[in-house]
Amino acid sequence: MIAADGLCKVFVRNIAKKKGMKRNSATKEEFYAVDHVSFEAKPGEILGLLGPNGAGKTTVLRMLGNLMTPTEGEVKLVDLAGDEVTSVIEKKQKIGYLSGNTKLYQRLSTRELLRVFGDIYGIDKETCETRINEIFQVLDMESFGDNRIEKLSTGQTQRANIARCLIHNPEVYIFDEPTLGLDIISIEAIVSFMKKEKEKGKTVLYSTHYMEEAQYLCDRIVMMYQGKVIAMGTPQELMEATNTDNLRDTFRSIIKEEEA
Amino acid sequence: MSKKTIFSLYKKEMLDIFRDKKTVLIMILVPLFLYPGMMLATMLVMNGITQDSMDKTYTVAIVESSESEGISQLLLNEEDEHEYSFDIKGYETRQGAQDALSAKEADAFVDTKITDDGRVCYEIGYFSASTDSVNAADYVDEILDDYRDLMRNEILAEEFGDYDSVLNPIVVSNIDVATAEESAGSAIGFIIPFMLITSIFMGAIYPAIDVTAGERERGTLETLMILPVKNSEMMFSKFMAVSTVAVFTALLNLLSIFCVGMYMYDSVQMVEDAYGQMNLLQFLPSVLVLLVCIPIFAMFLSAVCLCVCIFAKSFKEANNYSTPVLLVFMFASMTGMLPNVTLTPKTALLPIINVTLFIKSIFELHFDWQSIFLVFISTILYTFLAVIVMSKLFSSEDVLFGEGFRGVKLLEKRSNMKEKQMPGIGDVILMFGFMLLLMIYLSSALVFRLGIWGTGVVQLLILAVPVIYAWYMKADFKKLFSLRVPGIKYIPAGICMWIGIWLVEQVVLLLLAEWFPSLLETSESLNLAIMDCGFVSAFLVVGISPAIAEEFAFRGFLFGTLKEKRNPWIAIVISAVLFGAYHMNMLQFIGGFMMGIGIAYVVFRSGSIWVGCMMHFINNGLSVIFQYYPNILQRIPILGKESLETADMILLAVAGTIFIIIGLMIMKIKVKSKKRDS
Repeated sequence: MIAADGLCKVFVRNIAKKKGMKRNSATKEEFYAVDHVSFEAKPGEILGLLGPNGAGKTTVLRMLGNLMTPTEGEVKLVDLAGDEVTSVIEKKQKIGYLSGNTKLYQRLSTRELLRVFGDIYGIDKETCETRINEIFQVLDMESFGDNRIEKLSTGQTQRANIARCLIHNPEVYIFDEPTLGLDIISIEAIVSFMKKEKEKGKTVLYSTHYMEEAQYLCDRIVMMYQGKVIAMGTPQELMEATNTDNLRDTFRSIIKEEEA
Repeated sequence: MSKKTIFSLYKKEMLDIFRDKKTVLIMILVPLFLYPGMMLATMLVMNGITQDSMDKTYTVAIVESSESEGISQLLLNEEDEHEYSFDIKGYETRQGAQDALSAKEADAFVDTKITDDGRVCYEIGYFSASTDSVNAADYVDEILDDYRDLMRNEILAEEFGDYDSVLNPIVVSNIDVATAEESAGSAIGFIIPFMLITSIFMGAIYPAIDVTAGERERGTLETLMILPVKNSEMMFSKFMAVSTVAVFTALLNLLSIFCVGMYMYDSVQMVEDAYGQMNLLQFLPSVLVLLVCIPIFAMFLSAVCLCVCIFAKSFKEANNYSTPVLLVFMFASMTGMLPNVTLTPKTALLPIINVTLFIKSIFELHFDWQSIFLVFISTILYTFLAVIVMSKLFSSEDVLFGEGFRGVKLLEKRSNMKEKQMPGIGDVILMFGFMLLLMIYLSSALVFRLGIWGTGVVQLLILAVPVIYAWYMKADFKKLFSLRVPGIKYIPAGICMWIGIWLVEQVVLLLLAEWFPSLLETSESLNLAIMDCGFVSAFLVVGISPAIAEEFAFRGFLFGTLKEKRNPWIAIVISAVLFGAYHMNMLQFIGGFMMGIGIAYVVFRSGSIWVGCMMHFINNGLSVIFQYYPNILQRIPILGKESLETADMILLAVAGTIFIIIGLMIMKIKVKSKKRDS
């Protein structure tokens, strides 16, 4: 695959997002869905965002992916030379974003979809074709790459979706629960893909609520609960701090502490 | 916006749209098969019915009497001349004949009797709920009419010899000077706008829903937003894609209408009977102009469809929204059928209606290039506005994530409203749109019905709607409508400002009237209405009510919102432009714009809408007074003159400027002793 040229660091500075509706409440009040969160992710690491449903993981990742603007704070993308990427368009060029909500155009085949997206990313035709073939090889999609997406299985669709966020060779990956609802084989394909990209020096941010997966995969972990960061560190550090031997228990004990 | 990105997105939209079988079916099958099919089927059925009624044998029950033999003979003799024939049944009593009719054994009955003065009276009985019975009675009636004429002519000939000159001392005949092409064109001009507008809408609405609500529902919108494209590029490419489909559908429809028309022209005798021989080539320029225009109309309709659909979260919701829009379009496209509504520079500005009237006029072979140009320009302008509005109003975030369209507060429940909030730009656009609709569609109708009081009703609505809207959203009334008691100094300042602006306005209008005389035609109908209703009601309706209603709407709701969101000067200018545009004619646009700036500035400085009301009242009240008592104006030096010279104008402009400066200076005075005026 083509090597990434200028790798990017991601800085998240005190971002907050206000939302209109409070869950479990009839009255409409503004509240912080993400309550002043800061962290950073370096090239060559997988940063895991952990937390229960509704913790604000997806909102954080959407702000990182420039789909939402933070109410307060900022998300910075800084390249190796130390220059900040400021324009939204350039930021989007450098980010590969995948979530459960990024559905694909059902009426197109994966190949057509990649051509269209490559065109929009400004990749010329020949490069695009080579990349598509490479991607199909890496993700083992040659057998179904020309079928319409509506005909694909869940696992195949997810691979098509990953192919979609690879086409422009991004420097930062943002994966929102990429393994949700998939079978073991598909999960393994995705996990090994993330590891490979990390080894190439890319920055991978990913959210999940599968603790085992995170423990095995992540270099560092940001734990979120009710919009706030409640713990941060390597899986090892977190487990040591709470005297537990797996992340699941670590998480439980941190939340218990938080609620007390 | 980058052209390359738009083109790439456009390709994607087109690919996606054309992969959808439903769209393609609607786009191609409906115009090519459904329309002609429906028209031909209607024709065949109509022909069949007529043929059938002519071929039939009708049973007529005759009540036997001394005179009945004659009528039976008469009916039977007629058979040679017509395609229908009669079967005669005799009955002894009238009751018997009537029963036969009720039992459907006969289609009609005839009873004969002798009237008091010795004439024979034929009573034709029929059963109005049955078409056959009605036809039978009609035919019998016709035959008897002919028979009566024959008898009368015989009697007259006996009496007078040449009786015709006695019966018709003068001769009247009609001559239609319209050529066959013109009368046929007028008929075509009725049908085409309706069919074309409906079919373009049908062509545009499906892809419009598909690329907005459809994308959102299928979850591809978020994927699209990840791409490095701007909102405006995305919207524009969607607009282009929908327009393409709409244009394509429109052309197909036109082709289909054309083919069906040719077929009918060829095969049905009726067309030739009604319009005589005609040279179809005469319509060539009309068709060519229409072909050039269709893309523009299709783009306008596409923009409207997109604007509507983008509100919707799902396909179903979008479908619900599209129904009322379709009804409005259909209604507007039928205005061409109204008598005496023609394309004028004024109607050329009304969306949809202008297109309808334009198509009608070109098929009547009447090319009024000035109005046609206006139709073009205004349609392009409306399209442009719609595209801008839709790419501005919807930030990607609002379109994407659950919160829906938050720009318009009306869409939320009242219980969810925050206390003391302020409306947003979306609310301003909605409110202004409402007021324009009110002026375009309701105002003239109400004035036509109720005279001057129609204006009163409109003003009441203009006051009520912003106030109710503000109440619904629990707005901060005091802040929004600037409900403060003004400082004393603002009263003289306001008066000075008004005099100054008014003088300058007169000069500007006079100059414009000299350069563009046709531009500044006053609305005679309103002036007449003012003169008709008496001074007191005119003063109430034209002098006082706008001073309150329009102030609350424009300097209250619109300016009150804008000044919170934008730099005050931008707010003042925008509110003045809106205020001018709301008057819907060039003359009042200029006056409204200038006054709008002055009043908004004074309201902004004083924080009180009441000064605005006062200025507006002086302005409108005086204009009513001047209209009723022109001598007052004539007594004022310079202004009273019949025609002004350049020197007079300069003098007026200078005087106006001085008054404005005095007004501005009064507002700058600091009143130390009192605590108000922060």
